[in-house]
Amino acid sequence: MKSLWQQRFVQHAKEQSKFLKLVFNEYFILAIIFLIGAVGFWYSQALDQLPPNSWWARPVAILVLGLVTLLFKPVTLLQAADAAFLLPREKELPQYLVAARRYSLIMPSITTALTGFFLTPFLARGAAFTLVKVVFLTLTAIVAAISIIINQFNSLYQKSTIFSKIGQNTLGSFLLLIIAAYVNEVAALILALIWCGFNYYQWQQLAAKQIFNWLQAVDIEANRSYQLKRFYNLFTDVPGIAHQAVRRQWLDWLLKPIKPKHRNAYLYLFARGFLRNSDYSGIFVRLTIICLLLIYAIHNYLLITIITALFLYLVEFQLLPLYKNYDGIVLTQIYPLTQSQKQQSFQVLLLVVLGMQWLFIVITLLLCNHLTTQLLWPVVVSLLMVIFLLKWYLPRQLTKLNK
Amino acid sequence: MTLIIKNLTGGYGRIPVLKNESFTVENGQTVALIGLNGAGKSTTIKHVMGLLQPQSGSITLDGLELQADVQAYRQKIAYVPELPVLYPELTLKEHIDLTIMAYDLDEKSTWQQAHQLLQTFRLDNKLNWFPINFSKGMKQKVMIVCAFITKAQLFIIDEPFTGLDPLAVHDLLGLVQKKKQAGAAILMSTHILTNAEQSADQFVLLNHGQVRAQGTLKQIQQEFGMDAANLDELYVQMSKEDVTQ
Repeated sequence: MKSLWQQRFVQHAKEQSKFLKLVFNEYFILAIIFLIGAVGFWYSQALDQLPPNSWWARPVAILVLGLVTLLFKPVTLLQAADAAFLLPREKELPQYLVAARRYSLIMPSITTALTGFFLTPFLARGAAFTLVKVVFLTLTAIVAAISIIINQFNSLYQKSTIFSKIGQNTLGSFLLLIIAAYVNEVAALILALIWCGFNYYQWQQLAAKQIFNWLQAVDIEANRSYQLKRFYNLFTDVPGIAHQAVRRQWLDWLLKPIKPKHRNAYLYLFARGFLRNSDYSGIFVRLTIICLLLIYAIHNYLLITIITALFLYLVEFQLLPLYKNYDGIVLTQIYPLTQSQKQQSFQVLLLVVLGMQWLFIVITLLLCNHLTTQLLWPVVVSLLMVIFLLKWYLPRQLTKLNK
Repeated sequence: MTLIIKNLTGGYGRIPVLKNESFTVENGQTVALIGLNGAGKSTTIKHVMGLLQPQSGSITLDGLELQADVQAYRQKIAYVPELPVLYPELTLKEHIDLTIMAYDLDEKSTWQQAHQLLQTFRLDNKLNWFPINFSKGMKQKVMIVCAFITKAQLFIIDEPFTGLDPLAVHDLLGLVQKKKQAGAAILMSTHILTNAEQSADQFVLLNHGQVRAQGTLKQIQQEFGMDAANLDELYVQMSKEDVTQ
């Protein structure tokens, strides 16, 4: 069982490092450096203006620390199939879980410690805390975070669900922090250690005697990893995280003009795919909004001309995968429809999409600028770009995709 | 409508799954393709639909080959796959609309038919739902409705009896019966032998991509030399031959 954890952990570490590399690309790091700089600057400015002995300094610190301790979930790396395959070895499962718990404690401990570190100047100035007192407060928070994780592991062996523990954990964590901040920081730390010890003792009792809640544990793990992957999905394409189709009934009027005729079959399908699959409509909306914001901000006509043409091209290029989106569905393969109907329908869809984008561009240009002859440049060039894309570029790309 | 498969050899890669397979499905007939997992049932079906190209041999529908006229050939076939695959972005109603458009059917009369079928399969109150979120059996029902509103003359049904509730199986067999009487041909693959025995007129027993026996139950009994044996017993006999070979 221990080797199973090792194996899972190596796999998990590999996957995380792969995604983290993609998330922390050079642009993002640059953005983060600026962000940290800006926040740090703002924080030091705010500290200067903070009146000493503010009544609200302690509650704010308690709230921040308390929420951080409650943020984390156990990382078990259990998979759905485990509920079938590992059942006969349930007695040995605690070995696996102890290793998992050890790993699950790393992130909460580090994050809580860092939070305490950032709160130090705030508490020193706002609540006149000594360094020792802040250290004790932070230690209490760390021990509380550890207790909470242990407690969540315990719930996997108890009839009560993990959610019924939320109340107990929230109460425990905040109570300890209040004692540390208002009564006595040493007493709070001792109480935290007792709570932690009690949870640990309970773990040993439970793991020895009780039945493991397989389905719940698998659910919790699946949920945790899904949340994480959804976050990664903001930066890159994560397999298995597909956008769910959204009905968007309020957009149905846009679909009305597509008459139910044989030659419109593909258009009927593509148009709905475009509107209801956020992979496609999302790209269109995001790129168009950015383009319009740039038009609003920039008043150099040459630059605007280049930008509008570029964004039209980007939308066209990013929508191409929709053309092949339905090829894997057997119905599409057996419908008595032809390749040329498919190609024509896709061209009609892009005509409408790019036409709308061009219209938005023109309206924004007219609203944000004085009417001059120079304004004709971006209007005409982007129109030529639409024509070039639809008449020349797109048909060639589609012919290539058909092969 | 007659489907003729002649000396068909084919499969996914270079190594053929089907070896020299021949059989015929006449109009007004239900033919059940029967065989173990991996015997070549689904591969045969994929060849008939033109999703796979034969390495040798021919498949004709009323004398028409796929290459001769893809659109006309496809117009003749309706298919209910074993694993229902639907469009994630279309509602149930839109699936039917799309089928009407793709097969160029008359909108009004087809919708009348569709409403009846939806009622039979208890889907009539879910027209505006995304069927992608339905259970497997319900998805299969959607595929059945979409297949049976077409004017196809050959209905291919892959494993119709797994996943459907008994009532739906009963209704499906009723539909098959009606289409048969109207002159259509039905080709179905299945493992559920009791259902096959009740509903099919002819059987094709596939083993390792080859036709081991075909014909009516009586003819197959004779072929195996087992009079009065039911399909179950014949099936077991066929798999025993494997072991002794």
